[in-house]
Amino acid sequence: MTIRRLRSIRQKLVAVVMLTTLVALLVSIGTVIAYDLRNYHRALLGDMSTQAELLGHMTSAALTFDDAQLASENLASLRIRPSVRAGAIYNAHGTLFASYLAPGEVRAFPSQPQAEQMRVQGKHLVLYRRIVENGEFLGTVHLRADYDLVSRTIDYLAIALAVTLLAMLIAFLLMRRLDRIITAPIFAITVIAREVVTTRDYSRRAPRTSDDEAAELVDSFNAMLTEIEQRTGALESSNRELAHEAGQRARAQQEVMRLNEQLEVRVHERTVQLETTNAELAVAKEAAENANQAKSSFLSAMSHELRTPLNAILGFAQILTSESLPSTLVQKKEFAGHILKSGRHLLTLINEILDLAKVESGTVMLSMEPVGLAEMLAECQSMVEPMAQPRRIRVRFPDHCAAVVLADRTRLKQVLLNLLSNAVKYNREMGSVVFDCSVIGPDRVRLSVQDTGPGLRPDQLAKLFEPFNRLGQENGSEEGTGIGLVVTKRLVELMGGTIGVSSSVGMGTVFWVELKATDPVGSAFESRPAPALPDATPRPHGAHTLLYVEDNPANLKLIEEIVRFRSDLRLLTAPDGHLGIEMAKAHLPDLILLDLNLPCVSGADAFKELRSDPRTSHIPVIALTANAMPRDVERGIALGFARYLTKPINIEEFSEAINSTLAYVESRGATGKARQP
Amino acid sequence: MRAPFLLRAACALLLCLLTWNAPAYAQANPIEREVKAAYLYKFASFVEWPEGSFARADSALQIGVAGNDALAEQLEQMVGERPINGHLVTVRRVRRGESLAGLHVLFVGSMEKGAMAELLGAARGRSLLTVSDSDEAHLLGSMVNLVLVDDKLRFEVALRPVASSRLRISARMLAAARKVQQEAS
Repeated sequence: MTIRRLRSIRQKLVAVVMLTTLVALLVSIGTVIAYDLRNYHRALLGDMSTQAELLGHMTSAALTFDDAQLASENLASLRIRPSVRAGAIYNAHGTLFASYLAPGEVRAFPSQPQAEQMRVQGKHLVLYRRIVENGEFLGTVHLRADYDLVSRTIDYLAIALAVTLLAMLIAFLLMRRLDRIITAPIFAITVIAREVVTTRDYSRRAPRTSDDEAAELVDSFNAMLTEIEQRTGALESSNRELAHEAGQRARAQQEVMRLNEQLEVRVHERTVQLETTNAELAVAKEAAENANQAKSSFLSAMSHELRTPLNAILGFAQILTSESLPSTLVQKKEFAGHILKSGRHLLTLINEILDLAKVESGTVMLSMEPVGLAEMLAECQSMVEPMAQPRRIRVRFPDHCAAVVLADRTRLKQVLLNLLSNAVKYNREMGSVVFDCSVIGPDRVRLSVQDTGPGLRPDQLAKLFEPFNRLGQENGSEEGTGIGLVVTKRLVELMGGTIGVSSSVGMGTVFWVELKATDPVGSAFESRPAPALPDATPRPHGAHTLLYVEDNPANLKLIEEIVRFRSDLRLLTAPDGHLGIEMAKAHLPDLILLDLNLPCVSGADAFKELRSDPRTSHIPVIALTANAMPRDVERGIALGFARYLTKPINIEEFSEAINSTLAYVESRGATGKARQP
Repeated sequence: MRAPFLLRAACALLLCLLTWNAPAYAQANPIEREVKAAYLYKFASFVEWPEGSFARADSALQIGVAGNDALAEQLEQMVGERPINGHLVTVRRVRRGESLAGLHVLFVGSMEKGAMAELLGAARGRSLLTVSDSDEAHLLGSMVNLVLVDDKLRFEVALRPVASSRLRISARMLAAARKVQQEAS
């Protein structure tokens, strides 16, 4: 349908209405025309039939009485029917009896009447009818009438066309006016929809102007717009959020990229560092391997060093105890001297190894304090000169050294003595040792020890501070451990100082130590006089009772032998802590010697029990133990032991301790007696 | 239906003869007689008799003939051929003094004037169509009078006697009449 191709609803509406109107018109007009033509036809036929009947009836008298004039008069009545163009009466014999012609008609009658009939012949209706009166056939009526159905149809068609055109025109005009009723609301929606599409303004609403389906359309459209508006709003907000998120992500990504770059830089740096570290590690590893090797050699060297004095001790001791090897008293004395010397060497060795171990493990405790060098040098000088004299080595100390350094007094002394003893030990006969003291900076003091020994080669200098490297003395006669310098270096470093060496072969070696100078004020405290020891001379003052608590029979025997030479001492022994406590309570000795490593009850616990008992609390107790570590010593002193002696026992020291303690007991007893006569 | 065809043929022949023959034949020739008989017969078909004229619906229609035995014979030959309006036709010769009861048509032929007046007087007031063929009889009161005009048999009708007889004569017959004498005249 072409209607569908029309683009406008208005056009469609007009087209539909026009088409409908046309169809209605055609149908109605066609029906009317058909009905009218049929009616016309029937009416004409009926009319003519009636006319013929009437005429026949009328002319029956004329025929009966053979009155042709009357028949003609009768036929003349057809004048009132212009549509009848011709009429004729035939008598019973078939002869033309009378005739009639409408004006203008040509005379043309069939000579004989035809059978009764009625037919349309062209534009004429031809009719024959028999005249029968009272059962008698009188004649035949013939009529010829106009039958203008075609022209009538044409007229009708013309009228129909005019009417149709007129109706269509009116319908069109009406439609032009009335279609707005339908199309206006739709156009309104269309306009709004088009504007919404172009402007994207979803707040527009179509006006509601009617109450029909268009109004529903408007409502639905507006509801749809509302929905779209809301959704658009939601969409836009979500878009904004998305954009915001995208921005944040972009920023985060940039940040990540920046961090990545930083990370790469750092990785690069780290890689470089790692490579450096690796290189360092390789160096360190090499150093560690060297150290390991040094440690192995250290262990073998230590074993060697420890075995060497033991060899002398055990060897000479075997000779002394052997029946098969008789020796003179002079020889025995000499052998014992060797044993003693080797034992002392061994002790030194062990002490130094322990020192080294402590220093290496970092457990050494330093008490840093200002130390006056003058006093320190005086002490060292007094200790070094006895060593130097046998080899006629001159030791020169500075006349005046007022510097005060920040150091651990004991360890500083150890350091200086080590350097000085080395300088003496590895010097030539009649050489000299020069000690110098100089302030090299605002708070730096340099102490140097110069000898006149054989000197050291540079390669020897590099290994100087490694353990058991007794450089140049591997086969030397001078006894040494090869540990001293290592410990010295560590101690100096622990005290915040530096140690160094310079040497030239044949000329001698200079060891120097730099330490931090400090305020000399503190020296006043350091220069306090050592507490005056009581007179060490034993006074025969009646026998003193000694209780020795010790589980080791050899040690017990040693003390018994030592005490045997003292007529003023009586010795009691106990093999363990319990027995010792019992015996102390039973005999109330003047002095108790207590081993700290005892079975059953430890020495410390036994001491505490003795202290807690009023009967024994006043008895001085001297600790005699192999726990020789300074920390153990400090702890022992803190517990309240009168003295703390470490094994192996130095007999002189032991005797001095016994004497001084007994003297203290006596003086206390004297004052006590004086107060309580 | 042979009879109508024969009759029609006879009539046609008669009409032809009438048209062609000279007036010399007028009075006594058989063709005129036949036409007069046929007219008598046809008049009956254009006339309506009042109620009660016929005893039954198919009672015979009696045509009385007075003063013309030849015509009566002619009629008698024709009757029985076909009925008129459902009535068979019978012919009766009427003599002077005879009752006219039962007659429907009466032909008054040539007779003396007294008899004629007597006969027409007797017919007056009756539902009896009186037909004559002379001006004398027509003046005396016959309803229909046969006349010969231009060699053609025509008839005149006087409506005054018709009105009193309660007969009704068809307008078509009156239209075919040569002359119709109104009641007033």
